[in-house]
Amino acid sequence: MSFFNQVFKGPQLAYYFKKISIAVFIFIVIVAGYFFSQLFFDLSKFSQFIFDFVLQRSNYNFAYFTSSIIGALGIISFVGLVLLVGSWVERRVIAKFQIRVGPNRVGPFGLLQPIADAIKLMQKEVLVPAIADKTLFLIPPVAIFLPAILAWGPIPWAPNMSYLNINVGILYVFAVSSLTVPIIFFAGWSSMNHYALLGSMRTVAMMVSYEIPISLSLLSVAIITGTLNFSEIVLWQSTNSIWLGLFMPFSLFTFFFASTAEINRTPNDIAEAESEIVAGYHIEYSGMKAGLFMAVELGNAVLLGALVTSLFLNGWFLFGIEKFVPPYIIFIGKTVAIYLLLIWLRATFPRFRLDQLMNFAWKTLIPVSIINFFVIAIEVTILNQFQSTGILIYIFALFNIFLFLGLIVVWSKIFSVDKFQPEKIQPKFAGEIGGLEAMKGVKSVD
Amino acid sequence: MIELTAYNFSFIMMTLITILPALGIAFVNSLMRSLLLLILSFIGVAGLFVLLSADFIAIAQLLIYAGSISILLLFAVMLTPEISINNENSKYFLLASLGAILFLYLMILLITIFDLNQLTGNALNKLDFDNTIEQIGTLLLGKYIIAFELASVLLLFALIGAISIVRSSESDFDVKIKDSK
Amino acid sequence: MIVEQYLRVVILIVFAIAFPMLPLLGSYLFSKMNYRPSNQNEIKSSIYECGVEAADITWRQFNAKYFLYALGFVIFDVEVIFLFPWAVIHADQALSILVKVAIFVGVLAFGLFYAWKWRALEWQ
Repeated sequence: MSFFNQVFKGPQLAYYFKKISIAVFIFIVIVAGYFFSQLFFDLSKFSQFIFDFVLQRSNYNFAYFTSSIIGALGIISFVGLVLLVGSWVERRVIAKFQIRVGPNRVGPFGLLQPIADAIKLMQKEVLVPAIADKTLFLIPPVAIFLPAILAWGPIPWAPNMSYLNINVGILYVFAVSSLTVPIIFFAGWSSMNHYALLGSMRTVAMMVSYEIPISLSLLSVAIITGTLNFSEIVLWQSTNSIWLGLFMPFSLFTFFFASTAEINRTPNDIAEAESEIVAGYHIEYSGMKAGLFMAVELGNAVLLGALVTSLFLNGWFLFGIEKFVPPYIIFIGKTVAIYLLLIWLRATFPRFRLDQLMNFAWKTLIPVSIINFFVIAIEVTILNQFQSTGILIYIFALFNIFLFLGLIVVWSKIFSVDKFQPEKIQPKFAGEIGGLEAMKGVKSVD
Repeated sequence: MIELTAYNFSFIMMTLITILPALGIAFVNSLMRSLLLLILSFIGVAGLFVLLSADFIAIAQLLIYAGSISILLLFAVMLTPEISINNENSKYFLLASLGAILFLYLMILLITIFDLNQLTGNALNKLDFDNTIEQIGTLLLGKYIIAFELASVLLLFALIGAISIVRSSESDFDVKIKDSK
Repeated sequence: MIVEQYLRVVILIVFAIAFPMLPLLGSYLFSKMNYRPSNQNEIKSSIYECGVEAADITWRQFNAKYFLYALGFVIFDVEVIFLFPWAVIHADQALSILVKVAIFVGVLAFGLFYAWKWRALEWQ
């Protein structure tokens, strides 16, 4: 009885009641979530249903058009959700890394903070520089969303669930995202600001350099899978039961690292090196336009997560769990995991210097990528000699890992970038360049 | 008379997207604005390729022209010493218009010579390629292998030409010679 | 069938343009409702308004090195676009095809090596 008295005493009763009710609530959520997920297990059935529904009342073209619009709405609403929730997630997680609280005032856990931010940005005064090219100045904040949203098209969310089912999927994403570069340049140029122009030139030079390693790593994906279609790449990984990221770790590394340069995230966020060029190409943009630039960066980070997931991390498959959980939930889960990794990188790494980045792209990533895809091409030729690729593919995966660990060591030993040479970068004194009058009296330090 | 199907309508739209910016390039004064219009025009050409069911070529057009060549042109424009933003008083207006008229004449000649019905998108669309990229690959490495290899030599020449303009005065080659002495 | 798929791209383009327009439209509405201040003056609308006054015009001649990087980019992009058709069919080809591709890439790799040795890749 004493135990009973101990448990159900005044305030403790409420305490345990609270605990138990939370447990029951979680249980209900899990059960309901399970039934809910079974109901929405295959979203392609719904789109098929809508397609048939319209087809009965109208012709084929109109039905196709309607289903396309619904798909586009789905993508747009997903991107919108990502932009709203993503900024909150990023700020909260970064705050956890830096041992502070982060936004927690607006709404529960500060969840409404992004909306408050958006309203604040909309209310800000819009300043356009007087000498700016007014027409060109207005285009980039809108146009920069084109590549960011178009690239979501061929992403395979689940079996039979990708908006664009095209045979040149990888190349399409690559080509569309390469359109970001001129848009960034126009943003910098049209503000007619020294810092903006310098920032955009630097950014463009860097992005241009890092597009080549990306394309070479995509090439190795195409070599082994023999297709450029995203869904087929995911299916290839499941039939051969290996993640491509495991089979060719160097391609994964190249793609990931070079993409962080493409989307201007740490450690490669040269575009917004505020200690050097203030804010880079979007320094003159104010109010909602600046907000759009920030939003597109966030959207691109999540897009990178989706691309890495489908190309290297086996998409919607996860060791058989895909039979119980809806595939698109797994896909989004992996995407979010990559996004959290990006936040982790942002919290951990300092920014690289521009010359280091350029040297790394041209002297390390591109040559090693070329070697990489040749090695993979030879391996694919060998694999095709055998009927079943069972164990051999794992042996090759191990071989690849060790080969590229070795290559990185060799590369850093032999082709090391110029060592630190203090005499070359010593600053010139004012007296040396015939400057100040007062410098005449000063003797040189060395 | 051409009937206005969805296909023909989209063809006309893509033609407009190609031609109107192309006209703009010639008549806009600011170099940067005409560059932006050039990119738009390239995208329109990619759309025309799509209408011919040549999706790989369309993507290549988008990637090479709209994505890369435009960057090259951007940097080329930035290399120019301060050309004012307004460069309306061009010296070569007469020459350029003469060239344009000659080119137009050539195009009209070409169009009248060829049988257009075989070359329209409808005829090509009926072939209904399933996967163009595989056929391109087979042809490129089989029948047109010499052109394929020569392309790389051409690209090498372009790279070496650019290096000879930009290179710094001393190279690693020089350093080695000094060491041997 | 290919054209049909790309109709979806056009629809997505329309949405992608409309999407960033929405907050800009909201911003415009705020200014109509006098929630958004707009008192411009000469100092505010100068470039880099809160810093030192900008000297000289913005459009200066840039280093030719940028051009080299852009040209290298174009060359390698063209190379990759030539290689993608090979990559798709590589799985069911003989090893002799790989040699042909090796020649193609080797020529360009020589170009990269040449640029490296002439110190054209040093960023200053």
